[in-house]
Amino acid sequence: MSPSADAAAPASTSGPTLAPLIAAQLNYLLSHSKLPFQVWFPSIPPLPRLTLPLPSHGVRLQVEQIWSGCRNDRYADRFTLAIPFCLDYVHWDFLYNALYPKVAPDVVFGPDDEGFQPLVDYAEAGNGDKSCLSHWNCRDPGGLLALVEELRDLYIEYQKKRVGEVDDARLAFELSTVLSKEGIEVCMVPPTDKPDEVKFAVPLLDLDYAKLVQGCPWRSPQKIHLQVIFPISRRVNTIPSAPRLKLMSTPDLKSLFSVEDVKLPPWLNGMCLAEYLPSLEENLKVQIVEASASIGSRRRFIEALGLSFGRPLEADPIFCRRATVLCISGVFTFLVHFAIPLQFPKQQPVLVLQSSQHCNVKGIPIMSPPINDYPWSPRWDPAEMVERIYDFLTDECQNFKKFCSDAITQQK
Amino acid sequence: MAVGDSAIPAVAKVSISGAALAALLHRCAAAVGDCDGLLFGRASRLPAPPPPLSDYDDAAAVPPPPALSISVSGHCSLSHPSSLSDALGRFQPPSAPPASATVGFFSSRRRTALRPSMREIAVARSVSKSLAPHHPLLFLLVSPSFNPNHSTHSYDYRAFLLSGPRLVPASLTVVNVGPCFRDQYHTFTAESPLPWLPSPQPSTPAASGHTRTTIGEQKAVDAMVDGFGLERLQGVIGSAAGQAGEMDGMYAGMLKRLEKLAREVEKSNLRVLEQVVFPASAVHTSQCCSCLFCLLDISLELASDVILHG
Repeated sequence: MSPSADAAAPASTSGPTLAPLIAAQLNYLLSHSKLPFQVWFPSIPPLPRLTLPLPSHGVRLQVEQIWSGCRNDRYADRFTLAIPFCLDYVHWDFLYNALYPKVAPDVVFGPDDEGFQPLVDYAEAGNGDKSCLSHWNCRDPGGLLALVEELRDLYIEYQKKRVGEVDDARLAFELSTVLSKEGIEVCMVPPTDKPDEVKFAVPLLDLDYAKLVQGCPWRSPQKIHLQVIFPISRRVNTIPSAPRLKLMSTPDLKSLFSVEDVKLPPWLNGMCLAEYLPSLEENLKVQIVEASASIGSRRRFIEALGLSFGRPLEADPIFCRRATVLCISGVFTFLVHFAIPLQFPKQQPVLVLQSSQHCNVKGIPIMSPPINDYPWSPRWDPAEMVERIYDFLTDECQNFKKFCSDAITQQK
Repeated sequence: MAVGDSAIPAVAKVSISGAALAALLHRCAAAVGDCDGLLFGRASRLPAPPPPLSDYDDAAAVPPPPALSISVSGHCSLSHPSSLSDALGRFQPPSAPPASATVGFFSSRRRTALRPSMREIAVARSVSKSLAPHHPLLFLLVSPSFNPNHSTHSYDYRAFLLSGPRLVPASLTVVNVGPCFRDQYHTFTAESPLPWLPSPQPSTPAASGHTRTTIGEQKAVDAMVDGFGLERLQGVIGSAAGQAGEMDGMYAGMLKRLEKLAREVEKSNLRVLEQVVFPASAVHTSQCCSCLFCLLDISLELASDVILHG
């Protein structure tokens, strides 16, 4: 929760710089965390010697806010982290003390997590020495990462325990059969003592995508999760209704395989999750293998482009989703951008023409609307596909030239 | 009884005097970073209100718990964050606090949410375990903040009482001087070093057991009255106010004690005088050293010494 809700004068992210020792720990956390979800994060104020990886390279945690707790406001020493949990985020405030760097940080959990008391549990079990806080070293850059991972693991266990206390026979059965699955996370919606629903985040298919895709650029492991939301029935002796199911994947995976296109198998009456998962995983595996095979057909299409259009100016060499070629018709020069869909060759590439000679008022080259209504058959071989597109463009370029000239005339 | 086990009474009144709160807020504002410390005061169970007259027996079977009043009168703190505990929230006070006067602890952290943090909950549990007060432990969370140009300072605070595993928010009354706060004075009970003396019951043979006193109690009485036995004092308290003779005896004892003290003071004064005056007058052994002229002579001589050597 942000301090603005309870305290006056919230600090903006453009405030004081983070104290060096704390910045080192936060930087290490952002670059080394292996948490299973990936998000965009807002710009962080200039931090001393803090180089943040590009968002496309996988920052999995979100730094929401950085502010200072010092009287003179010189150094920032507290921040809110959005930590991925159960396909959503929990927001925890981490409170350091810039002027007393040796003091270990403290954490304020969300308003609904009153019952989550990890240090009390340590004290009761007498195993506090296991915690990274017991041997806290402020000069160790990995301290914060260890703390976040430790607290997140404890939080997952805490939520499992809470869900286990919900009085619902179907849920109790599901938990007893599925909870042992590695990496599963559960939580209650809303997170009160009497929830309406219980959400499961079940990781599916532990596939090594680097083997499926040649030259795979992903540094972090990619995951597909099945989100299952079980409604809690308040009445006894009613047939439990089917849960709401949704597939979710890490964003990088979208360039290879889109989970939105997967048709989920139907949930039959009286079914349980342990029954449902194997068939879904089997189905999904076949589709992912097909998706990786379709890279090959896209690659062959791009290679065939060279025969008619000449060597492409640009092409996506790994997933083969994009290519750009240069065309000349008389004195009219233009680019053709090919956006090749995942369902290629069932779906035809989308073409966008871009003039090299006409610019709009802002100096941006004039582009055509996306074109995908040209003749197409998935049964043609790549060379014929390219040839047909070439023939189509021979006529179409005249229309595009006129479109560009009209646009220029309208500007005048 | 550990606090964690005691439920918060239905009416738990937490109060702090205006001056104590001002001092606490000043401490929080003056600290360069965060700080924490112990809260002192007293907790008392207010007498239960008279039971309502009812025709039904079962209503009287469950009497409401007596209301609890916790009043904070002061604090102590090091200007340092996490001074009460280690990183895991285990209570480690800098010096052993008086368990009877400690009603709780406070924590100040700038510009943070007014919710107990991970460590504060652990400290609350640990403090209540080690001090074992007879009331729910009080936790006061202060969050000072200011606007960018420091022209406005705000102090948000919230009180919590430890109830079972959780810290439950409680309302905090600030007590000031004035007729509105007269209740506060009525709840005042004096503390005295005189031992507790139950009134004797001469009719029962067990009464002799009460008169058997410990050496500590007798010493406490001797510190005020010499030679006045505990039995006699008990007799005074227990009987009606008419025992003037006994009272006279007690006052005579007090006077005797005062006289003894006066003598001691006189003697010690003389000893001090001897130490100051006699070494200086050693050279004038032939003269009488107590008469005024001689003393004047000595002081003149000392003054001339100072002038010569200076």
